[in-house]
Amino acid sequence: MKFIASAALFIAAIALITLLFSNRAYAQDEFSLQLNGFVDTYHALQAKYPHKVMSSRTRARLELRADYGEATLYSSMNIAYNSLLKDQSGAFLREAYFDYAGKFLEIKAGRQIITWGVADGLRITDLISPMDYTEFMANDYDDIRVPVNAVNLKYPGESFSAEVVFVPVPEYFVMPEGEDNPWTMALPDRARMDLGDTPEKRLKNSEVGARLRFFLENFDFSLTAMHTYNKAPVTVARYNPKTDSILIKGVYKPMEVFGGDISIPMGEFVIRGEFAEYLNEPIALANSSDYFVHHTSNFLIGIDWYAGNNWTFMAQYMHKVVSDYRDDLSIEQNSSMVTARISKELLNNTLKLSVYGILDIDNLGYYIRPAADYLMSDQITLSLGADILGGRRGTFKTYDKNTQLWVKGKYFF
Amino acid sequence: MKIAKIAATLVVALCTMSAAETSARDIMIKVKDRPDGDTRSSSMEMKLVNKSGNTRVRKITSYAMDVGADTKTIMFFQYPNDVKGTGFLTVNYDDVNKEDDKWLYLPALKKTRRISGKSSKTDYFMGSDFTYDDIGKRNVDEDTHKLLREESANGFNYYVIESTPKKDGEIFSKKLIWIRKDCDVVEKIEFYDKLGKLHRQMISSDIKKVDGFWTVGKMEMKNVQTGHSTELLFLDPKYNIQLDSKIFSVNKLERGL
Repeated sequence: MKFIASAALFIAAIALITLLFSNRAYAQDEFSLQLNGFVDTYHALQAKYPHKVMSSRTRARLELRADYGEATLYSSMNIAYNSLLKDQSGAFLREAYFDYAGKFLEIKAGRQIITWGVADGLRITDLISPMDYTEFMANDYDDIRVPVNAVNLKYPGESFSAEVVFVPVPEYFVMPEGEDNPWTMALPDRARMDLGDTPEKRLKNSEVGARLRFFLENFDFSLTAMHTYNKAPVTVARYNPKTDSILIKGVYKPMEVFGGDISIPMGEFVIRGEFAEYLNEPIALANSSDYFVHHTSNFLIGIDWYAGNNWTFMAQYMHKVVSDYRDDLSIEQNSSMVTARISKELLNNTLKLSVYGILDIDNLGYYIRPAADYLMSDQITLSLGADILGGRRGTFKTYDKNTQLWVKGKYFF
Repeated sequence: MKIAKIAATLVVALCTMSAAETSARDIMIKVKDRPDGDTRSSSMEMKLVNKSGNTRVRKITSYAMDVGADTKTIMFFQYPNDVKGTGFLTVNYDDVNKEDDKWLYLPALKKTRRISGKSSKTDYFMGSDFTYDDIGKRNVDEDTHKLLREESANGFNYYVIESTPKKDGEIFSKKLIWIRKDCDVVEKIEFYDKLGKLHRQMISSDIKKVDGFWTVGKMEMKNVQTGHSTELLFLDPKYNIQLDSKIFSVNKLERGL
């Protein structure tokens, strides 16, 4: 709700600019204003007894875009009704930015989603826009990304680009909270969670990243460097004997990241790789009493197979190595994850069947998301799917009771 | 003497066959190299009609530039709104041994993917009856060509050429191509499946000169086996327009139109 006022101001500004520029628009035929968006409704039901409603929400997404020459004003807004999570109902500004494309410099300033890297659904160098885990991962990937207020400067070359991103006030992961949310982690008795102690909103706590990208005949690659934070909080538990209670606090620490990615097409395949060294990444102790900072190496290798006949197969292996390892850390020195995605389009691309899966190798935990999307018309899509969680240990195991079936309808305008 | 006669007959037959093949290839080269300017742009509207008559519409704006014998193309999807903003960048190499470079921008993910230059050629383009190969520039030497006959119809003279793919993995076993002699434009193609049955039929119409270049205004592809058809209209074609080569970049793909 806090964004309603700024959204209204922004839209009013666009309307004013429309009026101001309307005469010139007739004269130069360069000004255009577009309103697009969609209405979608999503409902999920717990697969296991007691078959609780896991989610029930409907929203309208309004996307307003004004172009004048090389300048663009863009805003997108969600007007949502969530019958389960009251704080998720209302009007929320998602993106709102000014964009100017000069010949040698492009500027994008405002609230925007920034995605870097070549990984599919995993984050190695894609650290600027964090994730909204209000419903954990049971949401479309584009809805999970959190926009950030940033200034993005880019040199746009034909086969090379260089960009610098400055985020004065970084955004952090949104975690599920509240008793109404079935995705909120259960806490021990007399324990309380506080993840809101993010770094002060001061210039010294800002975030900055730079990236060089190359698009070549046989491969693409990019190099990345950034000063950022561990945006998924490390949690540390403190016992207060006076109140006989436990406070679980989120810890956010600055860290430097150096990395890059590569994509190499080879026949029907594309090989993808991504690598990043995190300097001073905080890692909690297994007993949650404290945390230590370590250098970690993070890499991913993936393969995409465009098998023809509208079949696509993607697989990824991600590995993390902790330097100067201590046995009392909450993660293994070497931890790894595997993902796979298979999709097939049928009936002249009106029906898409897909399945996405993540396997947490160390905990033998899994998350599987099968889905069927049917295009009823150019405007209407109906989707059915499931989120299947389970395993032996870890987060996916914790959520095994949340395995759910869902249905979604989407109308584009 | 008998052996010499047979050998002579065989040599003549082989030479005739080779001449026919060369001639058919030359015709196909002429079709491919038909002047179309160094740069071009157009808006495309695709109407997809299924057996029951239900229609879906796709709108695309595309720009192309020749760089030597190679062609760079960038396409932006405009409609329907669920794919609006999707962009597709291709560098199509004339060298048959070189795979095309391809990038796909997905606005929902705000991400560009390098995609395989090989596989999607045989996939259908956006649910239509045209494959990526049909709407792109298939290299002449990917097929073996044979001039079957010359014929006249509707006041025009045609070459009728049979093309068979050299490699496996194509969705057709052969195609028959009707080429108008006066303008080197393909007016009709029949695609046959692996069993030799007619699979799809393409007919070009509204063939006219625009800016001095022969241009097809409408192509209709019908899958005779499923009853699904696609009408492709080329609206507002322009040739030799002023285009900055930077438009054919991933950066432009991500910015959109």
